[in-house]
Amino acid sequence: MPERGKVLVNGQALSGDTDPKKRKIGLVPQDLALYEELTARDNLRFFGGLYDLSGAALDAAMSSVLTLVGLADRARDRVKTFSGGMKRRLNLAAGLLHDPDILLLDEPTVGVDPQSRNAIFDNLEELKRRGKALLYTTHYMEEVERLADRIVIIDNGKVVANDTLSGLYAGAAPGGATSLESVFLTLTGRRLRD
Amino acid sequence: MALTALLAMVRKDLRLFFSDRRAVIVAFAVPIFIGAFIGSITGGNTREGRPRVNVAIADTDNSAVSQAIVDAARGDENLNLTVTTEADARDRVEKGAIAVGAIIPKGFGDGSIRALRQQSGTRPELELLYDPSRTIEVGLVQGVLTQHIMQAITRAVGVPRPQLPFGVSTAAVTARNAPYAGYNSYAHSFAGMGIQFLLFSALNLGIEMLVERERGLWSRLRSAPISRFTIIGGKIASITMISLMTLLVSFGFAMIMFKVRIAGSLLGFFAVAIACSMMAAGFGLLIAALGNSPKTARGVSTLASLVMVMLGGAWVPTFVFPKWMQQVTLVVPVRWAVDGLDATTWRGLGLSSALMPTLVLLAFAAVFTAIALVRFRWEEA
Repeated sequence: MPERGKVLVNGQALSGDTDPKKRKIGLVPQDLALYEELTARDNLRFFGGLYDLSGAALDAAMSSVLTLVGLADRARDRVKTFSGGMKRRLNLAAGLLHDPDILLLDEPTVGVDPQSRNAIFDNLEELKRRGKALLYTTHYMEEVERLADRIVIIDNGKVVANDTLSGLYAGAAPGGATSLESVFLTLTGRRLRD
Repeated sequence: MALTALLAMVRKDLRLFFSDRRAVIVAFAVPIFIGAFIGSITGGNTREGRPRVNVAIADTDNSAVSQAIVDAARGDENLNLTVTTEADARDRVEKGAIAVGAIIPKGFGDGSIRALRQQSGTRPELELLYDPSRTIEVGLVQGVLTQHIMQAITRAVGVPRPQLPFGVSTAAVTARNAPYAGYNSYAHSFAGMGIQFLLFSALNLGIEMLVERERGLWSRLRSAPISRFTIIGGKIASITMISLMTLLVSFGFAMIMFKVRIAGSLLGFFAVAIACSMMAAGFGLLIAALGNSPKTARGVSTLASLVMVMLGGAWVPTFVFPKWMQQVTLVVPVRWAVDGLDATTWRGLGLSSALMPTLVLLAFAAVFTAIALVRFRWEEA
């Protein structure tokens, strides 16, 4: 993956740590970036505070995201008592708390059970319907097929494809491909990666 | 904006601290336990009387002179006397139960009177058995018993008691007009242990920042629209508060249970305590900036803390150090904290005595924080 570059939001570069444009971005890291010893509410209260949310606005935002990810009834429980799938859902909720327009999701379904994975996908589809832009990185091709409007395939730090799903199918082989995985393997080869 | 974020960070750190039962016990209960232990074995509260040397005496002579010696020793304010047999006295010294055992041999009274009258011949000997680890006490006991023996013998032979051509007066000196002043070893031990464990609390919070980095929380923090000053300011505020709580809880307990008093300047005491807590916050940040991983950072920083508290006089007062070491340890921040707290508690000194320790501790806080800011890895590798 590229390690350097410039972040543009609506064509404008971010100018420093406190640039208000950062409020438009929500981050869902691959790691479970949560405080396990705190309750779900206390985690969200902290992350909300970083975006200047407080009082009734913060309470409303917390209720909204907890309901969305199906954790409203576990809000007062410590995160360390949650299953892996619940932690993933709370990780997503923390990135949504300040209602960002753009959501960066770094492999948000790694290591979760099928039910939680399906629930996370339902959440993401709902966010798409609400008009959020999702930038989603994953190694699971079926997730891309279900969710993505546009697909960028990066191999060894280089962009090897940038198209819609149907465009990739059509361009991969003369007769058209039957799955994204076959397109991916055609483009990146079958050599094992380190 | 910055204030909301800063308050959120402080509240989060406080909640994390109190949610960790082990951290709370280490911060509050352990310094109290160790402070009480060290305070009790290093003298206790001398306002309640000077400490006495435990001595066992065996009178195998049973003469009028030996009885007079035992009676005088029993009434001596320097000794805590037990009258027993020779075998028991020896046994107690061997086991370390007492510092000194004194054996008055058979014929001691008559023999010493004869030696005094003739000024020649064989002199009977008082036998002192002592614990080799307590050589200071044996000198004191020898001096005290020699005085009582001379009085008993001169009284027995009817010669006038020799008078010293001078007198000696003693006075414990602490600040004037400080009604609660006076050495209380608990004041020193609780200051020392409070400082040691506030450093441990700061160390843990510094390591917590490394854990946050490992868990991906740092990326989330950096993606929020908050400045680096807010992030560092939040950490300094929370570490300072937790460190200060550690010290104040420790001192509060010592005040209630061991009659430790802030006999000097209350303002000075708080100035030193707050400056010390800020120094600890800088130390915590330094660990977060220089540490590669929580595991390696914990080992190195624990060692650094222990060296600082040892050289700073937190375990034993610096006046027992060699002179050169007393000078060298002035570069250790803990030394200034201990001296400042000693000055404002049992020494009963005023605000001016706290000024230099406070300024030096604030300077250490500034240097630690500045190095941490320069070395801090703001972006992920």
